[in-house]
Amino acid sequence: MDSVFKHFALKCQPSHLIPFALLLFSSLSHSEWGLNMTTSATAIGREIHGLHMTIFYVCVAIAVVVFGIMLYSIIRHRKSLGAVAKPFHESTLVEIIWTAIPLLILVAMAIPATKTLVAMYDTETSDIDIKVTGYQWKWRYQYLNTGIKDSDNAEQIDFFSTLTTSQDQMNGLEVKSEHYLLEVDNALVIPINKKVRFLFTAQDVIHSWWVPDLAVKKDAVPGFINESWTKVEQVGIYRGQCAELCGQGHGYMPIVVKAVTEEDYKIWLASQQQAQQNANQVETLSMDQLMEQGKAGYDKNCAACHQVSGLGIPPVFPALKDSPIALGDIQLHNDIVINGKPGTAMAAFGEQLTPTELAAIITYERNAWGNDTGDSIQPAEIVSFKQAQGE
Amino acid sequence: MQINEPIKNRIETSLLIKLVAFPCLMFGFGFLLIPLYDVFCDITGLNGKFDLSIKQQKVAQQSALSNTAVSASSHQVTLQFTTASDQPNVWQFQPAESQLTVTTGRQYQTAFHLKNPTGQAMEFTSIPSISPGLANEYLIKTECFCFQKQILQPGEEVEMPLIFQLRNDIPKEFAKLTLAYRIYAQPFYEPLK
Amino acid sequence: MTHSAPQTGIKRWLYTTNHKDIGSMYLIFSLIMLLIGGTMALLIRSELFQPGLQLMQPEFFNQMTTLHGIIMVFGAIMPAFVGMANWLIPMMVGAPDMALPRINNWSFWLLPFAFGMVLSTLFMEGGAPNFGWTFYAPLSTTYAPPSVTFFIFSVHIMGISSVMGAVNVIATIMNMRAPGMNYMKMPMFVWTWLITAFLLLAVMPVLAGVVTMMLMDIHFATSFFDAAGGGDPVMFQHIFWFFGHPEVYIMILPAFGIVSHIIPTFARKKLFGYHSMVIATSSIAFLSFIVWAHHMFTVGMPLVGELFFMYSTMLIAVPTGVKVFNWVATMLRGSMTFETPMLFSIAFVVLFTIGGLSGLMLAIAPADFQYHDTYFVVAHFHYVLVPGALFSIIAGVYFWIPKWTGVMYNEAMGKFHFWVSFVGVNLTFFPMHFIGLAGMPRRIPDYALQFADFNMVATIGAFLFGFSQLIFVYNIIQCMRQRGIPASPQVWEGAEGLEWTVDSPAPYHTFQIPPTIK
Repeated sequence: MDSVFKHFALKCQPSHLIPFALLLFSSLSHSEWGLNMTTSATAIGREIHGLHMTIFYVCVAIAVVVFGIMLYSIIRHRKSLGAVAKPFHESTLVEIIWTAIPLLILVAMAIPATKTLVAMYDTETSDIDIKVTGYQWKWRYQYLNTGIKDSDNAEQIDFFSTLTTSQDQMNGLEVKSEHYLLEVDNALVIPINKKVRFLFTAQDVIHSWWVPDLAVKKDAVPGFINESWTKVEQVGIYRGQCAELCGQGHGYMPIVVKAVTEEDYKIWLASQQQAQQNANQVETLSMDQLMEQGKAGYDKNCAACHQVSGLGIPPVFPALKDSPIALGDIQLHNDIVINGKPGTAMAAFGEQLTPTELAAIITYERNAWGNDTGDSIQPAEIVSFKQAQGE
Repeated sequence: MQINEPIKNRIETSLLIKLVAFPCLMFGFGFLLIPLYDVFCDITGLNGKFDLSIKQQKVAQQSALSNTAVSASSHQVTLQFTTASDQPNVWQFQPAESQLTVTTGRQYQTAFHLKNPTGQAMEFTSIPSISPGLANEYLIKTECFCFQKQILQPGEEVEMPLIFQLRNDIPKEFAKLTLAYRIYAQPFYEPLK
Repeated sequence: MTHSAPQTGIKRWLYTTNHKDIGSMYLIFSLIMLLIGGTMALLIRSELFQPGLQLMQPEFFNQMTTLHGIIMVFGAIMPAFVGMANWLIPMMVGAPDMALPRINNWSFWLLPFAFGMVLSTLFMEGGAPNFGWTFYAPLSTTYAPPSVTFFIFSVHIMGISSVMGAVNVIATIMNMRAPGMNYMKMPMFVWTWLITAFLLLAVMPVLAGVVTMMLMDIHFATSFFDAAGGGDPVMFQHIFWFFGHPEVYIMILPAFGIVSHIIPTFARKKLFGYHSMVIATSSIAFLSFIVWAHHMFTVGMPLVGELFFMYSTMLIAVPTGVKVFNWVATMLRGSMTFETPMLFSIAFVVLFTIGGLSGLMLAIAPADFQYHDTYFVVAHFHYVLVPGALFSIIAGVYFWIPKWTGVMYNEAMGKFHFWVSFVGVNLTFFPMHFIGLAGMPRRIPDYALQFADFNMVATIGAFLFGFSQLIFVYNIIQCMRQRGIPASPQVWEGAEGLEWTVDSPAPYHTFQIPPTIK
């Protein structure tokens, strides 16, 4: 056993690692290999990438010099080669030199860094303002001052953006899609070549909105607003994630930004106005339609906690299968889904889902997994329920 | 010295006292950071934090401030209003006007709508926040519903006023400001007599 | 009461006031905590081996990441350095024991109690703390599981232990040095611990303050961190990081001290620039108080604030660099041999420098907007803590264990441990730079497909690194069981310092009569 260790110890030299390290460093600037920061779709993003590469090269140079000297010393100044220690152990001049040179390097680095930071705090007036609110665990986008308002005088273009990757993919029961964990139902749509200003806040805990290709990251703090801005130069789809631990769904609230031409943006705005109107329209749905839409809605919005099987993870996430609420009074069931349960993780879905979605989900919960109450809830009933509350 | 000598012979007692006092003072310092943080935010406008205390009201009441009359140095600023609430927007908390073009130095009045549709009297706390945060010191609120808690009886609906002006010396770079209000609702119970 | 030999049985360990016994207890405790925290790391890395959720729910994953951080920071690294301080400081300054031996005992025994409480939260309803070791509000207040109260209580206990330990260290160093040992003759380990102890006194109480505020928000209806009551979640971050940044220097300064003993010993050459090293360490400690908001560049600070913290953070690289240069200059023109402590110390210099350089990149505020809360940060702090602080502790154990036990460790096994650890640690943490730059956030249990390959590599490295520590444990146990070549008092040819003038193993009571230093 001992000789194995001895053999190993004698054979391995630090110098054997050098070729490997060089290979690694040389390929580092190609971002399509997943080794480096994105080169970005915005001017600021490119500046940041440039700064990143500059400081990186400076660090590599410092490392090469320092480690090079160490390596030289390790090879040459060995007792086994007969080296005798030269007893020098101080030099004020040398200390001053190797304090001053790094200081100068840092001052040189601070100049472009300051310039880029100042540019990030640019206050030129924006063309579009979008309020981004972080929820556990999804994002809400409200386009401000588009001139499109609803009957309550609220901003009309107001929607949630939720992860659409299925539980089956996460549990390995289905092949993972190309944009696994980075796909949503409603993307944020913005025009290129326009300054878009974001206002960030949060509903519950601190979240952080980050899209690497836009080089925008800003914390969303509950009760306060922050701002940032972007000006995208290229049409494309840019994906990001929440960047501040916010609970169990922190890894499941991605961001998708679709940057489109100005003409396409105008078309989209008009369609949003129509979609918001449609969402609040109610029609009568058959049981089959309710169950089908309900299952889709349940899997997307509820299964993360209550599980696809309806068994939940008690006691924190109660089972819905055989649950007194799903089998009992419909109004109580509506209330808990629409208004949530304060003091628990059960959020108020009333303002996050349309009456049709809510009706379908509640119907599904009352009939799936053997619950079989036979109850069906129509969207109109949800509308009345909300009105009775004073909506 | 020996390890079994009495402590007072071995160790300078005054040093020990200092070494124990220092952490105690630092513990107090931790709590001192709270008012210090408010001062710091006041000066820097971090988080667009407001001082909701008497000081803000006094400042507002001193409307004879040199920078608050429309003058040659007045210019236009776009001011946006946005709201958030802590439940499905049962409270219908919305600004009457979501965007205004404001001339510095002139006083403006706008309103925020609020309704209590429940059967229980509710108490509302409004927390303001402005972005960019540094613009905070240039916004003078003469009257704001956020200065005190608002109590609404069951079914009551109000238009809550905000009377404000922007100082003339607000830097030109603050061309567009967003003022956000977040309300928090609590049931209100009459105090027992 | 004087006695020449220790008591027997459990009473010896419960009631001991002997710095050597207490040092040993701290070291063994920290080793156990390292293995527990390491097991949690392996659970985390197992879940992250491939995309998808295979082993645990996201809720439990958050508990693992949180406890891993708390245990490693407060249970492994800090107590290990305190253990070494206990063993070495009295001997290095020629004192018979620490200044306050009974408080010393209590400082230790508080820790198993505190960590027993922390680990027991895993079995509480609602689970263990799940809000990250940095426990930002309101996730850690309004939205926290019931176990948060026990977390707060245990942080208070750990804090009291640390503060008392720091008082003890300062009182010992300032009062009990042998005649002739003035401050500028003290060994570097003593210097770095003196400065670390002042940092502890300054910032542990602030941590106690912030967790007390949390407690009050949770249980006594205050609103320190709740906007609804006029408070501010961002203020939590300011107060936390005012503690948190000096804390990371608390976790590295003793490491600098250890390495400053080992490299001169095996280079057979005095440490280069002793004066400069003292000044550099003091500068680092002072600067550590004015950089905290570099952990908060994305929180929404005004430009002036961001610039200030960027400059101050960049500045702290200067004294740190000076220390690295001094170690290299110590090696240059020396007469080096590469026993295990030297291998770990050289690796420390190289790998800690890599961690420091990624830290410099993080200091560049505009770039940090792309690095913050990604695996790039995880790579940075693991480089400075694992091949940084932990390697220095391992190096120190190999270096001093012949003095503590009287027996040489197995050198071939030590070298093997080194090489496997070296490969393992780099395999684990180097790829994290890449996935961070490619866009993978921190603290997520599952990730998009483009991050898969390097995550797999990191997991393999983690298992390699983790299991190789068992070789170290075996080697230590063999020494404790006196299975090995007996060590001389000097142990190492180039070793200098008072501890090498006493027998190996060091007698239960040393320097009962202070030596005279020339």
